Amino acid sequence: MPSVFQLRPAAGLVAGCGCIILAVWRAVDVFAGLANGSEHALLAYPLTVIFPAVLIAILLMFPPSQSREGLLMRVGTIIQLLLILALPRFALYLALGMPVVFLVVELFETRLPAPLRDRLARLVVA
Amino acid sequence: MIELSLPVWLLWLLRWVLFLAPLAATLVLAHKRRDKPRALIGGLFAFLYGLGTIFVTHELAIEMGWWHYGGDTQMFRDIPADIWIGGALAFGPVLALAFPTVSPFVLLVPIVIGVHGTLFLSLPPLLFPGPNWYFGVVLVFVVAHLPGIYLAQWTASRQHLGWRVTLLAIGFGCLAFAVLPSAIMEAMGGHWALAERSPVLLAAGALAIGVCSVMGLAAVQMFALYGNGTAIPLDPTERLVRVGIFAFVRNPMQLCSALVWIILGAVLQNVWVALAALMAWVFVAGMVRWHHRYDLLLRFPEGWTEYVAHVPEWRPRWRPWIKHTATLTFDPANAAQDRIVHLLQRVGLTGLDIRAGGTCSMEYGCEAEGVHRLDGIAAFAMAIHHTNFVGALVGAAVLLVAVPAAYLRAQLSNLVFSARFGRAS
Repeated sequence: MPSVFQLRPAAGLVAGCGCIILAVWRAVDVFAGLANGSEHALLAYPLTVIFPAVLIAILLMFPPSQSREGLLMRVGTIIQLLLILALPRFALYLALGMPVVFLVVELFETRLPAPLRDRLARLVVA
Repeated sequence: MIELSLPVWLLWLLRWVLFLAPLAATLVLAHKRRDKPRALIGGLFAFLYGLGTIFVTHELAIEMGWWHYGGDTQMFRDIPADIWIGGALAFGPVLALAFPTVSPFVLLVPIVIGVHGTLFLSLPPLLFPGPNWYFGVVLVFVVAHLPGIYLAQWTASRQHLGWRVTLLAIGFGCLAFAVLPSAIMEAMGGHWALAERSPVLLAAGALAIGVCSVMGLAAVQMFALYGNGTAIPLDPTERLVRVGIFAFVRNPMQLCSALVWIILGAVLQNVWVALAALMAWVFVAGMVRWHHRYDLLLRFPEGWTEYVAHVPEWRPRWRPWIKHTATLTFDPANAAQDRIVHLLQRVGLTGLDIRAGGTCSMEYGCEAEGVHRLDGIAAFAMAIHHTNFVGALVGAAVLLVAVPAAYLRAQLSNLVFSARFGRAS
């Protein structure tokens, strides 16, 4: 087992590109709102788009993790943040449900059969 | 006072800036100080403390009519969520990381007088000041901003552990029992409306919450007193703490939080708030166990394994599990001490060796667990932890008052001493 664990570059790239695409899609929403005379999407953009995007960027730039579970928790958090970006109507529910991400990772690491677990983990862990 | 009439577009731009400027400043400053992890941890603590206390103080300000916010975008219980989070960043990590050695008082007074004092009346339609708004501003600064920056600075320099854990407990309390239930009710429906509840229900709820809080606060106190650290893994204890409430249950803080959410849910008649207790279990199963495996088990391999084998995670033991026997020394000639010792023996003691000695007050100690000599009421409070879980709660409640009181008394004596003899010399 390696002493440190890091994200596969391809997984990082997918997360980064996904984040940019979602941020652009939400920006289009802002312009559509302004065209209809509503400034709500514009005012909400920093908190609901820029903030999660910054958190994703920070998580992607974190140094390697001491444990695979720690790295998978980061991956789970990134996926949750991408969902928050993609589903603005459910953002508050997704944010409140953040601890579930850690439970899923814990169950994944402790309950799943080792061969399946390792094969799935190799998709994101280098 | 300046009372400008700013154009609306400028106010909406201001709202962007009030969130994005602190966020950008935090990122830049954190990057600049990345070689100082304690400073970064201090900044994070200040942010979390601010998040809880700014919310509570602003709610109070709105309730008192000191001000209210305009607009209906991103409102979280009448507070714009972006301004709230931006404020917690600006008056937490930003000021703490930018001015690590400047007194928080010196930092904040010019802001209160210079910015708020002059521009507060120019903020409509973003914010509408009401009567006595200045009192509200001072309250927010004294309760939320000033302690937050002190917390960051003390964490960075590893000073004032007692004050740090106190501020962390206040911040956590505001986040867990004010912000989180509010967020749950925002998402799932419901409202505080405490005035609509019967006084009996409120009193019973307050009493039950008080009892549960003793358990959580006692855990925080034990970490500080005998672990020389905080309850937060980023600022961990230096030793494994197995005394006090930890001799009965492994997760007293999470148990306390879960019980308080259930009680709050019952008082507010909101099942979703009560179900937050389930989230406490999810958090323990997902995050806390991982932390135990990769931190405590590695730092204390033997001690932790043995502790886990004897002390349950959630359901407290009736009698404590004591690894190292502690000692209680008392004076048999003292009637009060003799009565207390007899009472303790009648209830039944675990892991406590009682010795007769010529001490003027009772003394308690357990060097192996890092508990150095305690005397008087604190010795009694620690001794009663050796009876059963109810005794431990009573002892914990006594310690929660006795230890800070003794500390404040000592500080006051030092102050008087230095004022008297410092001046004389």
